[in-house]
Amino acid sequence: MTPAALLFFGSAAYIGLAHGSELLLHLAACAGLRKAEESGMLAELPQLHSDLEPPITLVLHVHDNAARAAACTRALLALHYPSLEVIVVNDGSQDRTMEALRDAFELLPFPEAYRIQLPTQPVTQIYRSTRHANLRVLDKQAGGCADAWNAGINAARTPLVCCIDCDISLQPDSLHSLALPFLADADTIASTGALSKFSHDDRTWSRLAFVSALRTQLFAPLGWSALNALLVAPSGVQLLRKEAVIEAGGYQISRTVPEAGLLMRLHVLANEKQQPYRIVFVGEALGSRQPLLQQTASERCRTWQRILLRSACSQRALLWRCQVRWQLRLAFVFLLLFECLGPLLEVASYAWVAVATATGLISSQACMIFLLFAVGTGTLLSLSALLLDALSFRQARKLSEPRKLLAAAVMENLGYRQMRAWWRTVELASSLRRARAAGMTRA
Amino acid sequence: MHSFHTCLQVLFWLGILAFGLAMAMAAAFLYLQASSRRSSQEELVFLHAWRPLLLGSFHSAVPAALPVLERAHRLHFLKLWNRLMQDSQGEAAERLIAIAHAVACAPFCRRYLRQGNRIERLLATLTLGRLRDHIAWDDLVNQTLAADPQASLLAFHALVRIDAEIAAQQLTPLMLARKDWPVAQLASILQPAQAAFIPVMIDVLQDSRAVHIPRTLRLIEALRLSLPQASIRHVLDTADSTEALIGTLRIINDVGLLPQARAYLRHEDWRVRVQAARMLGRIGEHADVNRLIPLLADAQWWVRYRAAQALAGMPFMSRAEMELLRNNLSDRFARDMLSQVLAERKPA
Repeated sequence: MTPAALLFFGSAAYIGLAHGSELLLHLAACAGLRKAEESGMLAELPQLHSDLEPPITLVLHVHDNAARAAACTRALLALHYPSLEVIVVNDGSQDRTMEALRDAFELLPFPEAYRIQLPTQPVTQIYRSTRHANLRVLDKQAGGCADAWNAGINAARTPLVCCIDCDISLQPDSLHSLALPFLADADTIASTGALSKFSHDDRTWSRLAFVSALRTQLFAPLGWSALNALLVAPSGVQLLRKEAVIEAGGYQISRTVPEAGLLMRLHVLANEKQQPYRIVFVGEALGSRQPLLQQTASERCRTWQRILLRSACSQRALLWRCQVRWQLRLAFVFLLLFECLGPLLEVASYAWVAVATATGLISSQACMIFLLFAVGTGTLLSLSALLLDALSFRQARKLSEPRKLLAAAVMENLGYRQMRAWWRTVELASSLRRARAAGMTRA
Repeated sequence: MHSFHTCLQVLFWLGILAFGLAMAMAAAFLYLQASSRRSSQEELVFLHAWRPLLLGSFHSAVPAALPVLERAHRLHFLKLWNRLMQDSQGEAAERLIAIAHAVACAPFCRRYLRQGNRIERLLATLTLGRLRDHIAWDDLVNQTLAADPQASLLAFHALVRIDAEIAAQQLTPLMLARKDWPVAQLASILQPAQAAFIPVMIDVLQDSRAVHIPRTLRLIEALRLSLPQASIRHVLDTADSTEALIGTLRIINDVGLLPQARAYLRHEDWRVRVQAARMLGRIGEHADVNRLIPLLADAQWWVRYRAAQALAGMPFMSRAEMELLRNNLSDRFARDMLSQVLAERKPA
């Protein structure tokens, strides 16, 4: 076989492998979804509640956000959960954020014996609200989001913490969903969900995004969760066992995407200690990003690519570390091959086939067969996500116009998916450029 | 060249296979959507006929002639009936139970329990428990052994509803062994039936070989039960794990146990010291103030915090006395902790 033919079949094999492994993930997700449809039906029935749910601390990072800090805090205080504390961390704001919080919640200085378990920028003052007994505000020198979250974790007095930013609004019962895995299994150290609403409107674009979100933000994480190998969470919202986070060193200060790599560090630590543990993806939408701050589709893709790259780089030792479960190693290889490098290899595959066909290196018939294979397996994947969704969540989600959704599942593979791959490739390239520039600066 | 064409053919057929499977999935998706729509419409028809009838039973007697419950509507009936039973008590609940008997609910629920799919089994379990159906006892006991935590816990709940005394005798070992039954949910189930379970749980605590003592203690704490002094003393004497010790200290509310429990203020495990300090906060005496003061300088933040809270919570310690104590402390950490706890207790 000629080198051109080898490259051609290599490209097809890569796409087949990527789609095939994602399909296997959907099958793995089925294990966790087996009862989801039934639970949907039973959700209307009386539930057993006893107000013995584990207490949770919500840590909210605010920085130069006088306009929204108080409203965000109020929204958190209004969440439905029996035992909830809110810690707002004002991260060295230069505007009127602190004054806005002081006015809204009648804050008074509080002489707290602040315990430093994670190093952070100095906390200058701690306040307690005279209106809400479960609200404290930490005023600290600027250090970034991760630094603020770490300060909030230091001040938290509950076994579970959840760190969020001002641009996320949570569903009223999202904390219940996140706390359930901790109630069901004492070995749970983290639970997370999605920020997508898993719904769509009448626009074609919305349907395409819905099908794509089902695949990437619901069933793929559910699959990894079923194998207890979820390395990267699709949303930044994670409920964490405080002890475990502190042991893992908290959020990484140097990173612009603070949550990147945290779940992987938790996995590695628990593996090293050979202790039983669970990191669970709850398969529910926990909330959404604020409409005003919503990113465009391309920005979302690029941010996701950045998180994946940072997560993979931070824990690359997973590849050769000895005491690692096979599921974790498999998840890491998948992350590297199909998530981090996937977009580049996918774009390169399509580009190579196009160039080879144009220059006569391969026949147009071979090109058509390549497209048939790539689009066929991609469509199979999209439809499998739709079918799984219909099987597991049909009580919860009444999907309108199923035929148009089917069309979207096919169309997703005729441009939308490739466009997302292109955006992520651009991010990959610029990340590499940034990394090289940083390396040269250090040198 | 030959191998190139063979590979190309394989690729072609794989593509066709993928499309074929995709089409099959599309058909299954459309079928599911259609069946879901049909089922919703059926439920609407059922609700139209039965909801007013069941709601009416809240206020007035059961009608002499009830419509026939169609086979297709049985699950909808069980869903609606259980939802209404949740909010009803007394005569209203009795009337709902009478309606369930009138439509021969128990026999088909027993059949569902033995042969139904998961939804049917779960709804039947819930219903048979509410109907206090003794005939289904053995089948429900079998279901408590199921690997599925939701199904087995619901079966346990049903058995407790049917006969709490026998359930306590038969199922306490299973209840303590099933770690997948969350303590919080068990506490909810046992709340109305705690009288039946207390003696059995005390027996478990008396058996020093029992491996489930920490879980039993957590349940006792969740149910806010008070145990006889002798039982707690026995556990303290024989506890061979830190968890059992912590669990015991958490439930001590008897002043008679103070002499024995005070010794744990100096325990090497800080989690035990925390619970010992909390216990003194609940039932401590004047003499315990001097025992708690050294804990204010403990190396562990939580021990310092709970000791300060215990001191501040003692009814005979006035604010002025606490402030005096704070000002006289030489340890900075102890002073800071007392300041924090005093601030927490300051009225807003």
